[in-house]
Amino acid sequence: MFSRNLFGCLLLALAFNATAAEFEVGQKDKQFSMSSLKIKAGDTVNFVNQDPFFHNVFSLSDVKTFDLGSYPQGQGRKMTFNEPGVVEVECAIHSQMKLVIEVTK
Amino acid sequence: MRSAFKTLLWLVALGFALPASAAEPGQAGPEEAYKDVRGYIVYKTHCVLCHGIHAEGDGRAARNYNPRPANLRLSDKNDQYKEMIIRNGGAAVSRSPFMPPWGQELTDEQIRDVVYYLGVINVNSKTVSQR
Repeated sequence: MFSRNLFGCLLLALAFNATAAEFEVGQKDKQFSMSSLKIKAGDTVNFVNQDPFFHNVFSLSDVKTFDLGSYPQGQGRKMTFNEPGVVEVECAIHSQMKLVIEVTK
Repeated sequence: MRSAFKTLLWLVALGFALPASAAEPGQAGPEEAYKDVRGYIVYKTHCVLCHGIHAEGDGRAARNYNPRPANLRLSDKNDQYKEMIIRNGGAAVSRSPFMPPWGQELTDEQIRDVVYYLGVINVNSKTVSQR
């Protein structure tokens, strides 16, 4: 009985991992590489700094509030979005940088 | 004729020299006043998000952080320290890693100006003319 349940849980976990995707968003020339992105709940976005100076990623959206800190060229920071809704992502160093992520169920 | 020309030259030279020393004691000269304004512009553009419009550590992003961004009006740090943390970021001085390094974004003059502005608004600082 126990091993059956365990097997079921493993299957569920595998199924969840199989559906979760990872997206990459570049930060280049003081802009995000896209202005909007549609993802599903559970997906991860990797923000990669392609500029020769520091970038930051943060959001004050109700759906997801976070700050991934500041990081130099070549480095990236990942964030997983579990709740559906609209997340506005910004850079604290370059206020003109805006990205809207739509997270669907 | 020659002495009149000489007098004219002196008057012109005096005219150039006057604005630099026109400020009354206890008042900021024009250059200092501009430094103050330039610093305010830098602050408003880059620092308000976290430190707030009144520099009290209550910007719109402040709720993201624990500890909260510093109340810069109450700061007891000297200008050299402020310049260092602005230039190199919080992590470089073992403070909040969320304070970005601004050294690549701001010019030396902008950093000096914003440090000057922070001194002007600091409740513990000396008056502008004494700085």
